[in-house]
Amino acid sequence: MLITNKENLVKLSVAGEIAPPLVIPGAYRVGRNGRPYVLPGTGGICFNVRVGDPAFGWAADNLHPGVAVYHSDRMINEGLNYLACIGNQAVVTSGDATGAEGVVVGKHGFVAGFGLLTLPYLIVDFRTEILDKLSIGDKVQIKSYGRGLEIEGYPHIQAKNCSPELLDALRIEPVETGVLQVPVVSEVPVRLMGEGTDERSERAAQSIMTGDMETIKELGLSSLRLGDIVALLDQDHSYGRSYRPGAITIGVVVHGDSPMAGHGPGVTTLLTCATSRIKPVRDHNANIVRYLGLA
Amino acid sequence: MEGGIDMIETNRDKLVMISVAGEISPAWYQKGKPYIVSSKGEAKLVPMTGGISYNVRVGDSALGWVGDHVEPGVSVWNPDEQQRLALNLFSCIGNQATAMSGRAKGAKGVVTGDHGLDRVLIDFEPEILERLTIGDKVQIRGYGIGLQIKKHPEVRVKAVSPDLLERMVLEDENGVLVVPVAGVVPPEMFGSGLGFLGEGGDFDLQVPDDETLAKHSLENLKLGDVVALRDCDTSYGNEYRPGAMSIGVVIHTDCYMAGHGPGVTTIMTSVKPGIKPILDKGANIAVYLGIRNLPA
Repeated sequence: MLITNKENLVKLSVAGEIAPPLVIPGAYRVGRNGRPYVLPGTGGICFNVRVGDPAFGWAADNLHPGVAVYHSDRMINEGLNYLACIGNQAVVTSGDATGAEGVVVGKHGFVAGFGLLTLPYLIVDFRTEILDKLSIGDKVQIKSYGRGLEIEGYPHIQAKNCSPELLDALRIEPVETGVLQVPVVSEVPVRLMGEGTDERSERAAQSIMTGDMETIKELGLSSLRLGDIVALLDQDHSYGRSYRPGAITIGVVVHGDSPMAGHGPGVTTLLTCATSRIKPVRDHNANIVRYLGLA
Repeated sequence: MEGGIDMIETNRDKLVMISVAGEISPAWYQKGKPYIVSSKGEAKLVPMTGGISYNVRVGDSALGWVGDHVEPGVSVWNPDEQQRLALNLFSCIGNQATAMSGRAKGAKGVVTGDHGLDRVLIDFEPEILERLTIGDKVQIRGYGIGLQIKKHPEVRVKAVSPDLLERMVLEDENGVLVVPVAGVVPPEMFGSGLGFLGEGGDFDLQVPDDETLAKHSLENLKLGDVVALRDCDTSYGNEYRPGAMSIGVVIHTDCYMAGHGPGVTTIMTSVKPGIKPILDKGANIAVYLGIRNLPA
């Protein structure tokens, strides 16, 4: 077990509400091949897609599993999005499901001008029977816990958006001096990493571009599931998201594919190293459904 | 022209020339923050976008400045959001700009880039810069949107004036479009702008280190350089697409922030073969537009 500073981290309330889905004025978004479309995308309660389901194939754009939670006040929303971590406990604090508990399973950004949510938001998983009691607008509070997390002896590896519980569950093994081995479902080359590269790595997600499905299939990425742990090669997410040869980042797949150019399944950052001292090892069971007991 | 190489034919006689206008933007800084954070975790306080850049001009190096997203020459914007969108979407590189108010009223400049759906960059002669003031009105003859190369409907032409395109692109005897470029950029360097619309703005190249620049012979990258983006489709948004090719112009300087770097406004793109870049270190709009000779 890794030794961390988790006893020194502050557990702090952040809160938002279930976000409504939006459609751009004029309705059409334009896909990568110039074809206009209207599809469900971000926001709302997604009743039939849950973390663990496929990331590809849905008739949707940037679809999130479960529930989208944001705060309509931009500043308050920043607190919600920057402090909450994957694996944090959520609780419904208004409406018919008051008291029901969920888990943060993703963080997603926004793209101005596309008619998706215009604010970053959290993706929260609830059990299916709870979804039927939830309403758009219900308040959701989260015990944010994980910001500032450090791994003793590994100052060159930064944890981002990762709750201490999830870090412990990732089955990380020290393999040689200064190197941590992390089980991942797939490895993603830097040339496929798209939208989100100019976002802070402490919130939102970065898209795996799917303009060329042949490449996606060749690399085995077309079978990715929501919640899968993946390695992003030559990606340094230490202070934002940048291309750095030899760097490596570990993240979790949080939302589904998209017809928009530069978009595709989104990956929220969990661990990053500016040099090659994270070693990914293939394991098709590396998914947060298993790690966080979401079945 | 050499044997077998011809000028391209376009639909320029059918394009509409339309006025768009803005004003010289003040130098801009982030709200409430004295520092920007670099990709290496350094806190930096440096000039950024906006204003009149007196000593950074098209033809100068795009690298090494103590600044972030610095715009050469004059940065023009429009405070009204919808007018700003029109200003950026209809202004094409090579279009004529005119100062419409202030001490340089009547002075002519030329569009050298569209930046971030937000600002249009204009080159004026150095003696004109001395007479310009932040807030001066600048009007542009927007001309080039909808431009097509007659035998190449598969190529999307974007944000470039017909005159400039005709100087930059030739057609060989096999019908291939030949474009002299100062460099070819590989897909791993694509950065901010991925996932955004490929219209009225730019697309940043990430520069992680000197080795990467040297590996791709980009260490002398200049503002105004015409570059090829390999495996890049910017038809309806910017993204990686094996086999695609985009041609663009370097419009602003390198950056400290993660995911950012020299910005490129794309002017041609095709997902099918048909654009053939050939290396020519003199492929720069400063030369094509008669702005200046390149520094040695």
